[in-house]
Amino acid sequence: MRIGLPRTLILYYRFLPLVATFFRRLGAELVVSPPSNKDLVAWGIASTVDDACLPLKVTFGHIHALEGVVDHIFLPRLVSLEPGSSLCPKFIGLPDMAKSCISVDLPLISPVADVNKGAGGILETLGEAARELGFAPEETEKALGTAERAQAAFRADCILGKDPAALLESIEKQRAYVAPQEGDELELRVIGRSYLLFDPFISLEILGRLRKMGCRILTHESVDHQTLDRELGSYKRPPYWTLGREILGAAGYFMRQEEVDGVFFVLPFQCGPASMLETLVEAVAARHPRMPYTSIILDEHTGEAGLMTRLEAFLDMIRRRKARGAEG
Amino acid sequence: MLKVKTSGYEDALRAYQGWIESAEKQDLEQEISGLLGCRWDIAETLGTEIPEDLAILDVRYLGTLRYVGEEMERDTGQPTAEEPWWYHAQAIARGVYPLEKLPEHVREPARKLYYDKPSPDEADRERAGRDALSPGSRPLPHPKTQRGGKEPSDSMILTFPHMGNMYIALRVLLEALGREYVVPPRPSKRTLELGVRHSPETACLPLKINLGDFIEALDRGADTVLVIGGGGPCRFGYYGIIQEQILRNMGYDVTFYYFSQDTKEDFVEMFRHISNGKSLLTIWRAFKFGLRKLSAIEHIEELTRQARPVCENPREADKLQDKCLRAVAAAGG
Repeated sequence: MRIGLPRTLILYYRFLPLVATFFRRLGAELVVSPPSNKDLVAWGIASTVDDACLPLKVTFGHIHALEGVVDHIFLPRLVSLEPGSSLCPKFIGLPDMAKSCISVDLPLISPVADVNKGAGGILETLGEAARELGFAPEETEKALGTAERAQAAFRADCILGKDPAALLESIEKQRAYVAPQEGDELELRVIGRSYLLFDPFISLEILGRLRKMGCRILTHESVDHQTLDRELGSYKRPPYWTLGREILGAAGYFMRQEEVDGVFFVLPFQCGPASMLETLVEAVAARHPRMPYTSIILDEHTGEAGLMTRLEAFLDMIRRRKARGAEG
Repeated sequence: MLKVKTSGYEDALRAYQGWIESAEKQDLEQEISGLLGCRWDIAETLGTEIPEDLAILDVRYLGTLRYVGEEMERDTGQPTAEEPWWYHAQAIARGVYPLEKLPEHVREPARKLYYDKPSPDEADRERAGRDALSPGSRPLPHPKTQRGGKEPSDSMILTFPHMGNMYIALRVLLEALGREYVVPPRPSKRTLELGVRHSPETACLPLKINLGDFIEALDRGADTVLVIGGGGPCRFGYYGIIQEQILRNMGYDVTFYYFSQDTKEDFVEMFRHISNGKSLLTIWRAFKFGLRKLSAIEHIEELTRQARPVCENPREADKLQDKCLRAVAAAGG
């Protein structure tokens, strides 16, 4: 049995360890859609509505790439993963949008994850999927246990500072983790949507470029939950978007670190929650006037000159500032 | 779904009849409720039962907008001055309008339709309306805005986002609080420009317009904003927090209070600060009264939407709507 997983959104960029381990343990073949490329992205952009955010448009390209290749596509409806928070409306409607934008006959398996309404979280969606596919309950139970441990190990590795993108690659291809070549000049912190940052095609390899320019990079994925909760505790009404909370918490944490040289916020064009989040992160930056901060919005343009100019300008500013600080 | 866009009632009816001949009869029932102005005629043409609400209120006199203006005079001989819309609006504003104020000949049918036979899903709202108007119940509190006289415990001037005709209902609550308030001017080009200038670029339009509202209201002296807050996933629940921050960054000394379905604390805190020494009961009554006005407003708006495409002069429908809304706004105390 071939089960497809679109290489997109938090389904891949966060839950790959869980999903991959689970289905492999059950003896199914997990097929991940190919890395984003020009044709795939173009197909996604052409098939969705204009108002969708960039990662969502790309998602449709990934789902399309799996069509006809696999027996089932695992695409749960992610409503809320933690009590009191929820995911973006576009995540919630994703299975329906996939059916209407691509084909009503898509072999989707779309259990609902809605902790707030008692429908269970991501683990329960896997259990539900296994039931739908006819796996034995005992097997499912065992596979869930293994998958949960794999996910916890991934999360721990991220917190220890390993590069999430490289980790995901090692899990997908089932080989050893190879750390990327980090720069050693500047300590840069990058926050943003994981599914944008770690997709080298749509992020125009922003992380790789920064590393080549001499930066050692940690992302919001390296911040543990206790720290996030502590940071968000200072807000009377923190945002209710799961990913937004992580970004805002990480922003606050990073900006207070003495050894950090700069914070970079990468947003996808047309991202709903991020448009609100930007205001909040800017306010955090305003409270830390000594911390260099900039944000950049990535859309579907593939020209890299504009991006390079922005990155170089930001890093030059940090370097000059450091040099001046060292003199005075 | 059939769409009729014509300038006159006759055209609309012709379009309907053409459609009727081509359509499956059993599919029709649901569609019939569409254009109010044609419902009676369609029912007659098809030989189906006359819709209950039209039958009870004697549509030839009261009911539908085909009798608006000249149409009405030609078809029924009733003078336009009778303003059928006016009565209908009063009837649907049931809780807001006492039955006694309705013209005698529709009082009984209106009672049957709107007071004695609530549909199941509306039962609660109906009951609320009846309770407040039943003999023996105390009159609703409706104090005037306090200026001078008794000093409020702490002075604040309230405002709120201007969305559609919601302000009519919200005013009931604000009046009951006895606080000063500023209704933001109707959103204009200037409102939008103000909002766009200060909002995040990719935020959605309502956030920008609401922000423009607040700026205009704050410039007119308001210092406290009431907004809807609450859970996601849509951005609307987070508007207030972002707007408060933007306004503070702009240098306004402003406080936001959140009507929130999610947290009791929000409500308690808001109540403590804005209650102005009024009892919870007083405010609850005002709240319910406002809610009834809101449902009346929505009903009137819906009727207008149904009527506008079949009116020969669509402005007439708007004018009648304004008249009805003014009546709803004036109702009460």
